[in-house]
Amino acid sequence: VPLPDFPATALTRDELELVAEVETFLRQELSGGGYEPSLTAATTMDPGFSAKLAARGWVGMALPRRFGGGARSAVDRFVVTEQLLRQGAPIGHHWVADRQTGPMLARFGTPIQQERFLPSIVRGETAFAVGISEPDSGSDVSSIRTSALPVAGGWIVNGAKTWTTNAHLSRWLVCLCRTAEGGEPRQGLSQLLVDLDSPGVTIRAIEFLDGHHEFNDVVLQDVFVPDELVLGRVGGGWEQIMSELVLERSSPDRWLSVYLLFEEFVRTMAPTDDRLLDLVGRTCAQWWAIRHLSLSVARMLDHGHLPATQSALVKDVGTRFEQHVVQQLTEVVRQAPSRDAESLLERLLAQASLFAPAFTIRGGTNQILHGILAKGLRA
Amino acid sequence: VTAAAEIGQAVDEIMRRHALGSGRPEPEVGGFSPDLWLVLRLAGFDRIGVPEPAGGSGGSLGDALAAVQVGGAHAAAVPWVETITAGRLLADAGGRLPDGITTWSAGPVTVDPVAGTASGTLRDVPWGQIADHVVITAPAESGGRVTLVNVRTAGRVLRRSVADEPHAHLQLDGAPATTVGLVPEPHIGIGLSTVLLASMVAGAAAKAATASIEYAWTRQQFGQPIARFQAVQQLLTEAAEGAVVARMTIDQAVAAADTLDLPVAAEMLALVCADAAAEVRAAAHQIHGAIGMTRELPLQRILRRLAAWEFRLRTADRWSMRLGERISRTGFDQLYDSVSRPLTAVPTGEGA
Repeated sequence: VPLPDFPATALTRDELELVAEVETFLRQELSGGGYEPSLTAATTMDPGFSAKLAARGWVGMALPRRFGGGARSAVDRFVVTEQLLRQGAPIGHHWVADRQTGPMLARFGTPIQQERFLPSIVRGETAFAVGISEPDSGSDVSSIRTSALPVAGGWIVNGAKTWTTNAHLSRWLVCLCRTAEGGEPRQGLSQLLVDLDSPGVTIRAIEFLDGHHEFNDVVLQDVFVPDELVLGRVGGGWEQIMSELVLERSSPDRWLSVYLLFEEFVRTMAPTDDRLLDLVGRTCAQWWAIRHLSLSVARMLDHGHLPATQSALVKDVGTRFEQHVVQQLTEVVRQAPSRDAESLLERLLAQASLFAPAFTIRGGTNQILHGILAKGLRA
Repeated sequence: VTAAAEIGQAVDEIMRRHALGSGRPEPEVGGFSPDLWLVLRLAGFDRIGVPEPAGGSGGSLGDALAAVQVGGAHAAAVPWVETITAGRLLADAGGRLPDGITTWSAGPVTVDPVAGTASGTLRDVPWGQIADHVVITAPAESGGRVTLVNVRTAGRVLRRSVADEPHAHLQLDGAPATTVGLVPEPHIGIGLSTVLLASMVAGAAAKAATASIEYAWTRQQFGQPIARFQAVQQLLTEAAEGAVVARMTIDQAVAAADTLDLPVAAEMLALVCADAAAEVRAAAHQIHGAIGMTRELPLQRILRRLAAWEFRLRTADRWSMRLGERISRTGFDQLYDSVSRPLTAVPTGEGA
């Protein structure tokens, strides 16, 4: 049985310079009140902030130059994302496009689609939402029922997507649809780019545990999608989604969700007793290890690999660790966290307690990932 | 193929024939394999990573890490980590490894350099029960003085590890001691022995994980391999994750070996590999069910050593508390610097 390989890697001088550049930018932004650091950085939409990042070449930076991208590496993107997330910067507006839709368009899109979408992704303008889950299809993606039936010049889409992050603020939905009935459930799936301003689209807010709105139900009733907005191959949806999930699962947001909280804990508690110091030291060491796994995946992407097993592993290790951090802080803070507390630490802890259940669910529940891993680990 | 990989292969061949490993049928007697130690000696691997002028067989720290990692995967019951640590300390101080079994201890004892004697109690000396010599780097105020103590006539209190390794308290009462010289800083001993032991842990963890995964796909219950059960799949994942994390830290250390920041590497490897070992052990035992509670399971030779080595990593120093102290003293920037720090003292040229 071969264990999944995570080749050793370290940041180069150029990459370290990029780290410093992003740090400097964020320090200026923070001191100028450019943004409010938040635990929901990855889903907080701030088009103005995305535009600022885009002006520095930090959005769609790995996309080809002919579309305005920087043709930079996955590691460069990792470095920038890591800094933005750990400083709680609002990157939700370009997040999905930057992490997965941009790369998917670059890989599977038609020249016309690339011309149409990639330059605006690179400018940080166009926001995409991901339409995979449905009311009756959670972990079992192959069971989705939203249908797209061929008509003259395009497709008519009917169905419902759910848990759709920021659909209410995005222009486009990358919608996984069933385009052919019969046969294997994984066959006959296709990704369609649905304009959320189209007639027949209804979006309903779903409140998160803490009451904030980022999730939505998206109901699609006789929505027309022209042929030129099919992403990739008709019938190729399953393989496309699987490669997209590799990008989604290994990203730094899988292990930085509670970094701000922990930083605030260190800052305000100024631990001195052995128990707290032990907690800080061990947490830091685990973070160090997970970061290296995640960085190693980014380096593998740059070498042309699409490491599905490794990325599922990063997501499992990273998200379980994040929940463990919240649990441990809850034990040592010794104050029932109030959402109205004066202390930022308590407020963040209250918020994190309500978010933590999401860590091991988004991007595929960890229980399903264990199945993927177990099969990947078979002799 | 890298030098480290070639060394790993050569060591693997020796281990397959002579180590306790997971497959050898004969009963385990004591915690030391003299035959294996002799074969490693004859092949020149027992002192790998120790410069030749110091009585070693040459090679880098990276070579040594690669070699002992393979040893860990085969439950090598030999004083390997300690010999290499002692040898490198002696080399740095301008000395030479003596014949026989040489181990290392952090001390402290009182050394009388004029009389050439050492007195005091060395607690929990690894392989102390069978050691001929102990290399001591202590105390800090003496500026990293390296002393070679002959312990053949020392009093010994056996302190077997959970893997029966013959560790011991050594009572020195004017034992013959030679002051060899100075090393730049007195923590080299603990740093070296920790990264080497972490490498054995990584090897053992990988073997424990892969053997458990193979077992789960072979063992049938309810008419199917137990690996088909989702709850078991979670255990397989945990075993693999622990093993992968431990191995990644060693890969990082090997890649950085020539410019290794030893105190940082020891701290990170000890903390990460100890937790990884605990995760792998727990999963491996649960996957194996009842046989995993017994010595009938050949893998127990690895699992008990994994436990013994994990405990040593955890207790060798106040790793987590010192790291925690450093972070909370200097604030949150230090936190991210620590999370993202490389194991090298200098950044690498390219992202290989």
